[in-house]
Amino acid sequence: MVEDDKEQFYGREIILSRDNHSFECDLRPGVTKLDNSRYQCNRCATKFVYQSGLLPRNEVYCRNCIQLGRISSLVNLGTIAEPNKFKKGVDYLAWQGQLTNAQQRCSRNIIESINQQNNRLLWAVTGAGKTEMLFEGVAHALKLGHRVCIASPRVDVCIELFPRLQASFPGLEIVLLHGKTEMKYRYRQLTICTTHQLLRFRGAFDLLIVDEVDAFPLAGNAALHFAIHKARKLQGTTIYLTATPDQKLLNDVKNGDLSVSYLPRRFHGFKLPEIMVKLSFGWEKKITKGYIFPVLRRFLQLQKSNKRRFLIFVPRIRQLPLIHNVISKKFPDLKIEPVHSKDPQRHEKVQLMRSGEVDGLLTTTILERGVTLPKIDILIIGSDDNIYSSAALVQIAGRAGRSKERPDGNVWAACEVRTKQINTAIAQIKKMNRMKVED
Amino acid sequence: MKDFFNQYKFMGDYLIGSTFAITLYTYLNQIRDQFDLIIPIPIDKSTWLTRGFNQVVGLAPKFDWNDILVSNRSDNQKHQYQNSRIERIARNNPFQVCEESRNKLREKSVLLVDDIYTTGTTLRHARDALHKYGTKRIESITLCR
Repeated sequence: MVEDDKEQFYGREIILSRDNHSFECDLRPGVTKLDNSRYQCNRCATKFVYQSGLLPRNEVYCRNCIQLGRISSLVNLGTIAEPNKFKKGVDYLAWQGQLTNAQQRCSRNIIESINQQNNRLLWAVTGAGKTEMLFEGVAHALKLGHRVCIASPRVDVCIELFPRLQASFPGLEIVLLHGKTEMKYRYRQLTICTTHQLLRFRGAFDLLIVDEVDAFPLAGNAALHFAIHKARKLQGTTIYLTATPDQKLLNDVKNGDLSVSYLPRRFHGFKLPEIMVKLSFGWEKKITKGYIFPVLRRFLQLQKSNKRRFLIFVPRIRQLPLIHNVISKKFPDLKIEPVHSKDPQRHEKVQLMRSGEVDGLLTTTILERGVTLPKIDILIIGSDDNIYSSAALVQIAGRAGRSKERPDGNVWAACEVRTKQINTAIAQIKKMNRMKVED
Repeated sequence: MKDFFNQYKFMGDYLIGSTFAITLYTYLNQIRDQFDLIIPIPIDKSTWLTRGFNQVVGLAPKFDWNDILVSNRSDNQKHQYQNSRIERIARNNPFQVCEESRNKLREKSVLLVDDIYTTGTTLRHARDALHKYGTKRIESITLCR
């Protein structure tokens, strides 16, 4: 067998036809029969009854992970155990930046975890500089000849991470995998991918870093959590990064299954901007009729007179054009762009915002995390909508005040009632701000 | 429609084929007595091993199809959808009538059913294969073109 072909199988699960035995690799059936009516997909571990995946001639297939290529009883999954064919002892890190004391402590914690092969939660507030804290840990693992992966449920986060890591590890070839990329899979020591892509791996990574663990679609998705489990080697280290850990992670910390590092301060040392609740009754009715509502008017007036840029969050995609119309009618000289997940130009629009060509973006929750836009203020319209979990609100509030030059920023939450989620988010931010920075 | 066929035929999500089942099933039953045989375009052996279903039958699985055509695309030959327009038209006829049905075709009227009509070569090939055995009339319907 050619070496190049073989590489494709290292730590991966490749779909092979059932009667293809020409490859020297471990084969497992695509689907396992559990009992008379239930089956389990061997790639994503989803259990299904035969009615929900029946093919003619009594074959079955898994509908859950079909986007990655169909797994059925017609195929086998081929794997070759990860051989770690990498050069040891190479120091790839070229990053010259300076970590704060608190960041250094977390960075050391990560290296300890790698050496001890235990898992760790890195609980750092939004804008703490999580990526920079990873560099030394990643460099350490690479030096040991480990295979490393940084995964995130968000495509945008992966796309943003790739150039930053490429710049910090210039001698290292990195492969970026996500559903929209043209880049083909290659066997490399460092992989950046979405959590969906992890389903294609088996026992590949010694160090697996999961950024934004609590974000959609990973949160509450059993198949993707299984993927995280499966993609790592039995002996290895998983690092979870988030500003807003969910109950499951907190329980693991409590039970001692997960060590934890806190970072309650941002890299510039200032506190997090707190959320201000602005009651705003009947706003949806007003915008549907084409009127502006007072909170929005006041917010935009402030932005205009202070010449500050802003993000406005809206719960539903269908409300975007309504609000966009109202704003462009009342404030014709403000340049704003609507952005949502189905918008093909979303990356370009965020880029426009970054370069300062537009004054603000009107967005759904897709810009809730992972994007760094300096010196902005936030308005969350309809913050009592159940689309905003308390974690989402903390993340949104965390978009403000991310630069050293302007470490504060207004975060307004327009709502009709103060929901539990709003209160929890406010309490969480206050708690983090009260926490002492231990050094 | 493109998205539908992408998910159904090429990703192999068999269950969504039933989207058109009620419409197609009722329609085929309405015209059932105008034809002696209603024949789906067949798929070859290697497609059975990869896709695992006939995409025409899957559009109305409960219908009583007369599955009497077989396809013998050899493994190294391309699928029709992988061919360019010129290649499509120039291709050899892959279809044959299975042996036990050959003598049943004399003076019969036949309806061919396929999922997508592009150049018509597939249907022409199927027609040629059937015509050899003395059919009286051959018509066709496709879901889209």
